[in-house]
Amino acid sequence: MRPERLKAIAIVFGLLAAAPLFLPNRYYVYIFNRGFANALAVIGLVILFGMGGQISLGHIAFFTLGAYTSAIFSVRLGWPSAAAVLAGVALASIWGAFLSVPAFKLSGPFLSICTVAFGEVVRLLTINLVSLTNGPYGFYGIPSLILFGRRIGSEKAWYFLLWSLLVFAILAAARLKRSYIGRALAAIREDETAAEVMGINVRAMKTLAFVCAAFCAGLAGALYAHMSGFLSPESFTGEQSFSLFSMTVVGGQESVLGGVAAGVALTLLPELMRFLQEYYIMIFSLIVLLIVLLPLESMMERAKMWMAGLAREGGKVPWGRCSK
Amino acid sequence: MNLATFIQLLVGGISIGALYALPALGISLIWNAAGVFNFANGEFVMISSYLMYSMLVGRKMPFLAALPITLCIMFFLGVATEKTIVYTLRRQNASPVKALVSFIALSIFLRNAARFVWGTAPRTIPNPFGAKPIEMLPEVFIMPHALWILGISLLMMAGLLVLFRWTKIGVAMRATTQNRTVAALMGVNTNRMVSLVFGLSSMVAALAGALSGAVFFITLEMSVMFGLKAFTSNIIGGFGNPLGAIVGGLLLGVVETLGASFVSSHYKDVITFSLLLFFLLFRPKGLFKLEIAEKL
Repeated sequence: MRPERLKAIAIVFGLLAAAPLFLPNRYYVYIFNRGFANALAVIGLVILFGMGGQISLGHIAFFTLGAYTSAIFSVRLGWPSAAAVLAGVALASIWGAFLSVPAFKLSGPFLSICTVAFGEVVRLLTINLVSLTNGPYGFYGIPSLILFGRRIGSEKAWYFLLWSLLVFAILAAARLKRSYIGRALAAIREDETAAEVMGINVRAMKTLAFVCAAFCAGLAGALYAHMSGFLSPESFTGEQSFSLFSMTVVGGQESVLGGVAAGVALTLLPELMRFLQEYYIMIFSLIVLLIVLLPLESMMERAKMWMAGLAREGGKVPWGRCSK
Repeated sequence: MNLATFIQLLVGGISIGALYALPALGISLIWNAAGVFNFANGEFVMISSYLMYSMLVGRKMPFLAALPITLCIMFFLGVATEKTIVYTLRRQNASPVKALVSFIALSIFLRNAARFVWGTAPRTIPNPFGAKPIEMLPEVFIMPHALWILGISLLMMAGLLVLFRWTKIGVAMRATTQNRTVAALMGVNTNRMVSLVFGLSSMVAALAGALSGAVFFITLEMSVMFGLKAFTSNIIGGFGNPLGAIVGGLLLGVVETLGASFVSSHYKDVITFSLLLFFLLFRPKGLFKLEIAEKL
C-alpha cells in the first residue's frame, strides 16, 4: 500500500478515536458502537465470502450464539463476564467449524441454503428454548463487562474498547489476506480443483475461513450482549444476516477496509435518516442488486479511456471543428 | 391414534405437499433452463397470495376471476425478472456467485417491497372451497380444500407435462434446456424460450400462493418458508429433476404433517431443516439417482 494512502487511513482512524469527544450525545456514541460491532462481524464475512468465495446467509446465527452463550454463562452460571465472552466466542467458533463440513461437498446455492437453514434453526431455538433464553420475551439483566478489574459501563468506554478491537481485527485480516492463507483462499474461490492440484488443503482452508468468520461474529455478538444488557430474538432475524452480507458486498467483498466502512456507514445511515428506518433493507437490497448488475468495472475503464482521450487531444473542444 | 385420524392426516399432508411441490417444480424448471437458482421463488409465492388477498377481500372479486388474473400478473413478473436480471448476467458472462448474489438481493427486495405495499399484519382470505368437512369413508372427514388443492395442482402439472411433451413450443423449450447453442442453430429463439420458462415457473409458484391462502395465514414470513421448503423438496427428489421435485414436495408435506402431530408443532420447521441438512450432507443427489430425469 502506498504511504500516502496509509497516512490517510491512519488519520481517519485517529479522527474516529477522538470522535466521542465531539459527538453531541451518548446516543450517537451508542450507534457508533453498534456500527463497530457490525463491522467486526463484516470482517469475518470478508474473509469467508470475499476471500474464500463461500456465501454465508445465516451469519447472524454466530452473532446470536456468541451473544446468548455469553449472556447465559454470566447470568445463569454466574461466570465473570470476561470469561463468559470467551465462552461465547469459543462456542461460535466451534459451530463455525461444524458449518464448514457441508462446505466440503456443497457450493453455490446449496451451501447458501445450508447456512440459511442453520440461521433459522438457531433463531427458532432461541425462541423455543424458553428455560435457557427466556424465549420471545428477551433476555435481560446481562451484567456489563469487567476487563482487568475495570468495569466497562459507559458508552464512551465501550467505544474505545470496540475501536481498538476493530483496529486490531483490521490489521489481522489485512495480514491474513497477504499471507499464505489469504492467497490459498483466493485460489479456492477462483477454482477449487486447481487449488487442490496446487497442493492446497482445501478442507482445512475452508474450515479455517468459517472459524475466522464465526470468531469475528461471535466476538461481536458476545460484546453486544454485555453492551446492550438486553437480547431479543427479534433483533437476530434473517434480515440481519442479509444486511451483514450486503455490507460486505457494498464494501467491495474483498476489501477489509471497504467492508468496515460499509459496516459502520450502513449501520449509521438508517439511524440518521429516520424515514428510512422501516425500509432500509429494501434500499440495501436494491443497492446490492445494482452493484452486481451494473458493469461498474467496464464503466470505470471506459471513463478512464475517455479522460485519457480528452487529455491527448490537448483540451480541444469538440465543437472547435465547426468554426473551420 | 386410530386409522381414521391417520388417513385424515395423510390426505392433509399430501395436499400441503402439493403446495410445496409447485414452487419446487418452478425452481427445477429454471435451474434446467437458465442454470441459475431462483432464490426469489418463495417471494413469488408470497406476492401471489397477497395479490389474491387484494382481489378477493379488497375488490370483492370472485375466486374464479381472481385466480387467472393473479397467474397472468405473476407470469409477466417472471418474464420481467428474466429480461432484467438473467439477461444482464448472461450478457456479462457473470460468475455463478454473482448470479446467486443478485437473486438473493432480488428476493430480499421483493419481500420488503411487499411489506411496503401490504404491511406486516397477517392477512386471511375466506376459504373459497367451503369449510364443511366431507365424510369420504366412514369416520374419515376430509376438508374440501385439501381435495381441491390436490386436484388443481395435479391439473397444472398435467398441463405442463402436455405442454413440454407434445407441443412444438414445449419441444423448443426442452431443446433450449438441453443445448442452447444447438437449439439456436436449429432456429429456436432461445432468449424467448428462457423468458417463457421463467414466466411459466413463476406462474406455477403463483398457483401455490393463490391456493395456500385457503390453508395458511398470508404473511411476509411465508416467503422464507415456501422458499426453503421448495428447495428442500428439490433436494429430496434430486436437484433439477422435475418429477423428483414433485415427489419430494409431496413427501415433505406428509412428513411434516405427521411430525407435527406426533412430535410437536413447535418443532415443525426444525424437522424440515434437519431433513434438508441430512439430505445435503449424506444424499446430495436425492432419493432417486438421476435415472428418472432422462424420462421426463
